[in-house]
Amino acid sequence: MNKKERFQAVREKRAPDHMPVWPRVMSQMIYAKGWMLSEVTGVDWYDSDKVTQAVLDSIKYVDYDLCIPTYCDYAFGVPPLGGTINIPSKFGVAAGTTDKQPVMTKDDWPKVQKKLAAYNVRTTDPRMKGALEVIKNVSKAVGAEMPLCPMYYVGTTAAMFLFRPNEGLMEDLSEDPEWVDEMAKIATDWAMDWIRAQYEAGANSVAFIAETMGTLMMSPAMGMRFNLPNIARVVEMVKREFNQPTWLHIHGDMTTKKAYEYLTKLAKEAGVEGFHFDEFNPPDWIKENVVDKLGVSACIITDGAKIASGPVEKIKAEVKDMISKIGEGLGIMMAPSCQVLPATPNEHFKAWVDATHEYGRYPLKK
Amino acid sequence: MGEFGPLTQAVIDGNGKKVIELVNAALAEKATPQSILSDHMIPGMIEVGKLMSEGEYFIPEVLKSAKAMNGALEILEPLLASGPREFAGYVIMGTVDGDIHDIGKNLVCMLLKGSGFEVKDLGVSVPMAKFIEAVNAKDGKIILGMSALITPTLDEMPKVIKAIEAEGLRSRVKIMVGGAPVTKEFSDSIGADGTAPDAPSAVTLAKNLLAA
Repeated sequence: MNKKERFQAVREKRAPDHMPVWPRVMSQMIYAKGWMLSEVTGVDWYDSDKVTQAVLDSIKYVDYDLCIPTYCDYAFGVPPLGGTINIPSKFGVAAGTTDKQPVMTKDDWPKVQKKLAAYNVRTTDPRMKGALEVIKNVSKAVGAEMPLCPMYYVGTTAAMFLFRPNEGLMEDLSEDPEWVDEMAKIATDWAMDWIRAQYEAGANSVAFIAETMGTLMMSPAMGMRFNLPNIARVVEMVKREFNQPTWLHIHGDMTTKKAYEYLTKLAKEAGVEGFHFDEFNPPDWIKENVVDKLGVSACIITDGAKIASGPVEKIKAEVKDMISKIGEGLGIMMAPSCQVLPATPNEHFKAWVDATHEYGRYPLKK
Repeated sequence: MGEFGPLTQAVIDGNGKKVIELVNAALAEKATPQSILSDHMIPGMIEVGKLMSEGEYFIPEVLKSAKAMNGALEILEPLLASGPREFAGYVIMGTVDGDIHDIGKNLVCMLLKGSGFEVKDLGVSVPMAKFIEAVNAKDGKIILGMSALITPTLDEMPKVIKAIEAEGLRSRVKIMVGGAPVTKEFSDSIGADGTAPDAPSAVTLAKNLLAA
């Protein structure tokens, strides 16, 4: 099986040759080349050639099965809206937004909306323009056999990264929920345009959207109000315009009754095809309650900190143990709890992928 | 939810205006600042922590309650400083380098102060050298708290712990780590002295670490 066929088997609950691995690689692949982030991107520039090299080398050496075919970070899109971002110049730190976000108070909102009206996700932020170039290059190189997934955040998470400081948004959730509705919708509109641009550049598989506030920072009731409708809109758009399904990365413990109700709605009402959780959700719970009961596909999760810290033998034992808990293992693949941590050594990353491929040969050993 | 007095309930509800009104009324009736804090406000935050652990409250609600408490602390702190007060210990707190999130850290700082700790808050995205400098600046047994919200910054925590060991400071510094991606297993694996699942539990942890 090639990588596309392997992922297709998971989606159809058939046995692949071995369990595919879906890492979310962001700055780790840059550090793995021995570069600092500040050598490949700045506030208003992005070296597409270097990033292409980093993506392709990462795929070739580590040999994972699905990827986001470019380097992206939390700070994409923010500078043209008036926020400041941080591109670290030392090893192992992720790029991100700062405490100066575009919408510091509600008074800033009208002028940010004006900027959004003139925003072209393909050209306004030079970093995003550069990232699209990388997608084109990666698609040309490996797109025939590898699933390449467009990625961005959705709902309140997108609003947090694009517009509001974290604490401000947390207060807004209880003090000005109608405004949060508006920001989450507008941020999701922006996200949908960015997903469209990634498909046009060469992404060829399921859309991968992230709701990182999940049940870590909000109640399931808040998730249902602010995020469920926006996730449904992304799923519908991706299906209608690109004939692809959508997978959701969601943080937090989904095993509680209320969180599971939210999860059920995400699958049944919003139409999410598959889930990518975090380490709060054990593999046997995922198999029984997500794959078997909800009938959707899902990733079992290795804690990213364990992959980063190793050693290799411990990583292998962890993977073996997890795979032993999922029965026949249909509809399941392996992922890290969030992104592959920036300082993760490539040999740990590869050991984790290799172990999944080794212990995840089908039929799985009980 | 149990029966609480009006001030405790106002803290639980995150009603900042009412908390300040009731604190001022209590002071006018000659209640001591320590009693207002210990007998009414801290029980409110303990209940908030309980509601969080039961999945009834999430960060937005806890933040509202903590802000209500903080508003009242601005009135009470000068009065507490001028009178007799229990000193629970000294804590240095900061969000690790590369992470600008501070809700959890701020909540813990507020509750520690409310429980009699002296807190040096180093802020967000704190470089390793700044943690070391702050530890060096204070003699005796102290607590260092490090917080992170986003997983990519977790790597900073073991780096700081190793630097504290290398500086020969580890024997007098108890280290607690916290934040959404921090698990007990992670805390143990990097050699921290403990972690807590929420802000009120972090206060209990701090007390236990200094008592050990």
